[in-house]
Amino acid sequence: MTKYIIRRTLIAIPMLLAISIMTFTFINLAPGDPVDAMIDPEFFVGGAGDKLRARMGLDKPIHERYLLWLIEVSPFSSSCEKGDPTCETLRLDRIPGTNSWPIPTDIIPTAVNLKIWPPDVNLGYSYQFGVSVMSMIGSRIIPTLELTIVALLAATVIGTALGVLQALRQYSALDYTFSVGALFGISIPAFFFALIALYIFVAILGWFPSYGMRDYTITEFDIFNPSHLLNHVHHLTLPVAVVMIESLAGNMRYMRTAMLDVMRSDFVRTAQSKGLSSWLVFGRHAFRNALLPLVTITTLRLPGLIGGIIIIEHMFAWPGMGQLGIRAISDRDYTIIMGLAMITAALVLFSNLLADVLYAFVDPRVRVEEQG
Amino acid sequence: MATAEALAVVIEEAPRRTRMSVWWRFRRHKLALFGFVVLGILALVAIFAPLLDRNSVDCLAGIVREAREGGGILSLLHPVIESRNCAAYGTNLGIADEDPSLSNILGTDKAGRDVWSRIVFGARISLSVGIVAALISSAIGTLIGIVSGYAGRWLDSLLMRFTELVMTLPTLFLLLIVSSLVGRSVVHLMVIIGLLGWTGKARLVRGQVLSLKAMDYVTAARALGASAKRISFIHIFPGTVPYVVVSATLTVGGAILAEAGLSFLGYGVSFETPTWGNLMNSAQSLHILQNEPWLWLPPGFAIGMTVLSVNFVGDGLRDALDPRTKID
Repeated sequence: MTKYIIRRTLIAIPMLLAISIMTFTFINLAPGDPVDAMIDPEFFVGGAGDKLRARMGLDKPIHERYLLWLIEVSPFSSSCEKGDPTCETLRLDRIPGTNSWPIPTDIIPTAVNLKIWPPDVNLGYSYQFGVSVMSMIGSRIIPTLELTIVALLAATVIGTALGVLQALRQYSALDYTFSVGALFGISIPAFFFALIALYIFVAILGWFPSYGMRDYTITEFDIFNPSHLLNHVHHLTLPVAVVMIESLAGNMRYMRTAMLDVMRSDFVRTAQSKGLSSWLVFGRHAFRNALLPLVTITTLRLPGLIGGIIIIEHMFAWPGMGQLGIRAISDRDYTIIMGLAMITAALVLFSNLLADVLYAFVDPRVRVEEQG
Repeated sequence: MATAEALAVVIEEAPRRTRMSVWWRFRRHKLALFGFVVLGILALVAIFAPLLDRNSVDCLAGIVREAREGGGILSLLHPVIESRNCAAYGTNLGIADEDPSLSNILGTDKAGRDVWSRIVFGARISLSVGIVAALISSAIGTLIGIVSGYAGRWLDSLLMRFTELVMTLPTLFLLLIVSSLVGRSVVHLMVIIGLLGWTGKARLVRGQVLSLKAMDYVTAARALGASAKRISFIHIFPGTVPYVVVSATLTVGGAILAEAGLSFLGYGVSFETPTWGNLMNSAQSLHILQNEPWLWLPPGFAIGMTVLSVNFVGDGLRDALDPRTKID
């Protein structure tokens, strides 16, 4: 198993490299660059733009810029000690306006005030804001992860339960209602659900706040303070509900089919004919076996889920990576886009690995094949 | 003798019977039939959009008159082609931002265009984006799946690693980047959604090819000296078709959703083109969300109904094409 994990981790390195090349090529082929997004057209006289471009290194050919980026983010190239003033100025000097431009308040890290966060990873510096990309993304990883994980967990638990219920009551009115409901869930775009939720629960009923992670009155968030936590959960409910609908519906559909499949198989019939109680047959025999592939399905769903989260974060002003991503794309802030792509890709690859390990853990047959 | 004749009849009728039974099985699936009918109506709406829209009709009458004077069989198609000049596209600031009324049943947008007309015309864009993107992604997915599954060895692992690579990136993020790259036309959007949506199909087809490859009839074909190209496309490809058809149907829904999401965020088709996602973009303003739900609810329902029907049809097709599933 250890060997397998090491091998998969090593494979992840060329994959991340390939993803970085793909993303870098795409964003650099796009018309416009950070300078276009940055300069007020009124000041766009003479060669100001080109001068700025040259200063940022945007006049270099694309392969050279990619290599520069790669060297910058490579963990082996941190040539300067953290806090070394000459080194820091040298780096920051490449980005103009670092000191003169105010950093918008919504990108200042607020989410987590742990000492280990953000991790000491260099992803370069933002073209627009001149601050380190990691410091901008670092504060946004946790809100996105929180949304993702809570939604996935809720979708798995609820979806599985409803799907099993459907299978046990096949062809009943409940089964049909849930089947059609699940189809609605995968057919209606998440942002439409979000609009309806905002319209009903925020605009008409006023039950939930419409944006952010917590009230502005809470300046220092303390997770152990019940009122703070409650406030946070209050803000979290609507986005999670909207994000999870699609996965929940998918899980229901899957669990129904899988349960029906397993219930038709020989070993379940054997268990039944041995006179085991139906609770034992369905709970211990059928359900556990139907549950297995759900691990893989959930990881396969992850990239799509993150895609949906981009829109939902944007709509609920949830200060996560998706919101930053949309902004970075319209700003043509190459370094932030690259950083986001790298981190998301790494997260997805890691969860794929986790799923494989989990699968081998819950299904003994996989382990045997691995050894053989 | 009689037995041989009977056998001949059976052999001759076999393909027709399977086809009929597919249709028969599909028809038994009530929801699938419902979806099929809804999609049919939507397709008609899309094709005859200019005639369904009262505000366009006056405007179209002029165009038709012009076309008649030009003569020729093309004059019948002319109103369909020239519909751009009518209510769905033409701006009229005199009637901007109006509430629903008898002449504009869903009101007008801030450029004075009739929202109902734009929803009707939006059917054209959304349906064609869905269908074309699904065709593109199915073609790519099938090709890569067949090559990968049949060739095996290094080509297989290379193609599959590449597939995993594309699967790893969040689709919408990639779509956002690429759509800002190619510009905001309908054709571009169809192509990029198609170019990014083939991964699932490639893996599906590859799996099918791997199991078909081990079948006796393929071994027989190989023993008879058929070339790899012939085996994979004449002998193996037909076996994958049912799976591709089902998956392509479901992709139509996915592509419609992708277009809607991108347009909703303002990264899809440019705003003067009516697409359902574009129409919902206005709901990003809290005022419109709260006070003018007639602007964003109908296009949302249109998207939901269309994708729901597509999924009904996809489900029905899967059950009909897969002889293992029982329809009670």
